[in-house]
Amino acid sequence: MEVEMEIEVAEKGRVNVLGLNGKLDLANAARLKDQVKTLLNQQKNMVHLNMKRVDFINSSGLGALVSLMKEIRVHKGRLTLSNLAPYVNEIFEITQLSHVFEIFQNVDEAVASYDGVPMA
Amino acid sequence: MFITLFMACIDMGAGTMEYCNGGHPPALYYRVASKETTGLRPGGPLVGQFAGIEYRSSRIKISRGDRIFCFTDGFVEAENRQGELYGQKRLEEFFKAGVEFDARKFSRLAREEVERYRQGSRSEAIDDFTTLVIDFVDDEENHSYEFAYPSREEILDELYVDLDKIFQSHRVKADVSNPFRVAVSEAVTNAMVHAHKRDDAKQIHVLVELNQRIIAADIVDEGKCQEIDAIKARNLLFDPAAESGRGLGLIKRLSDEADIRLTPHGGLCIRLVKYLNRDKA
Repeated sequence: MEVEMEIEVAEKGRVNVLGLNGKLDLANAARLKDQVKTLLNQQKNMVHLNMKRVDFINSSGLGALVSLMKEIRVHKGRLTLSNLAPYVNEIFEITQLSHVFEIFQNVDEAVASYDGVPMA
Repeated sequence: MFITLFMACIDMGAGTMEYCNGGHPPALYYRVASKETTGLRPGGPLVGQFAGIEYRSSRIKISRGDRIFCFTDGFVEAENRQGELYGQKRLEEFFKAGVEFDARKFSRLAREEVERYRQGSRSEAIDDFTTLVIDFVDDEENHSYEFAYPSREEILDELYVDLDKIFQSHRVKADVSNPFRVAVSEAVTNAMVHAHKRDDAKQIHVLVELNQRIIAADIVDEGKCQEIDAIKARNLLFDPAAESGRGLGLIKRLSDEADIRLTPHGGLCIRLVKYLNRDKA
């Protein structure tokens, strides 16, 4: 049985919103990285991850997010997250990554925060 | 040459234990009903030193919740700085004070207790420290589930489904199941990536045990670990900038007890325990 993480891609202004659905673990980390790399190759470097339907994350998923953040910064872009489920948020807190990522309550707040951020 | 010996036949159906002790320090028996501790004393001397000796066996009634603690003489003969022996009496008191702990944890605490006692001792020799702790529980109260997964990423979803079935059938609450699921996934991922290098011919064994007090998982790989000391000594602080290396730290943080050891085949066994009822555990 294989349940791949679903990733919906939408554009809100110049922000590329990825709606993730599933568990962010070793099996799905590579898929997410590939998806973001595809965006970066198209010069789309403003990336928001809507984590509303991510009910699980472990160190493999966290590692992928850190890797993405670095990659996006190399492309002079920005990565934001929103809608962390309570237990996912707890894992961010434990690993102190809640201070590293820009995390918003919801997608709209995150997208609004891109106003005024210059394009690369 | 001689040996000391403690042997016992436990008849769970009849609720009895017949034992014989040949010159061994008395194993300790805790009876939950009376909250009393008894030493299971010798029925004869050391074995192998005298010919033609007859050993007397004894039979006791066992009940659910009772515990036996067998140990080798290293515990009672440990000396402190003043050359004073730790002794049977002190061990009995420690045993009685520790009955609320899970058997494995009690075993570890007993060893730590005696090692602490020995600190600064002039005697270099460490006699053997071996413990056997047996808890009597009803079969229907102790559940175990065994899984084996090939080392490929797709099995993680199977793992979550298998764990969720256990959580549901035993009504394990989210404050326990959430961290337990993440911790197990870390250990399984570790086995897959580091121990097996994703060789899917190698299997990851997951044994989940559950009773009224705990839910525990042993995650066992088929690799050959050469660096267990380095793994145990690893700094488990979280580096925010790192892309990997959070797994072990998460296992430690999310479990109430976590232990890493080598299996007889040289693989790694990570055992993690969550208490189901924090007040009791």
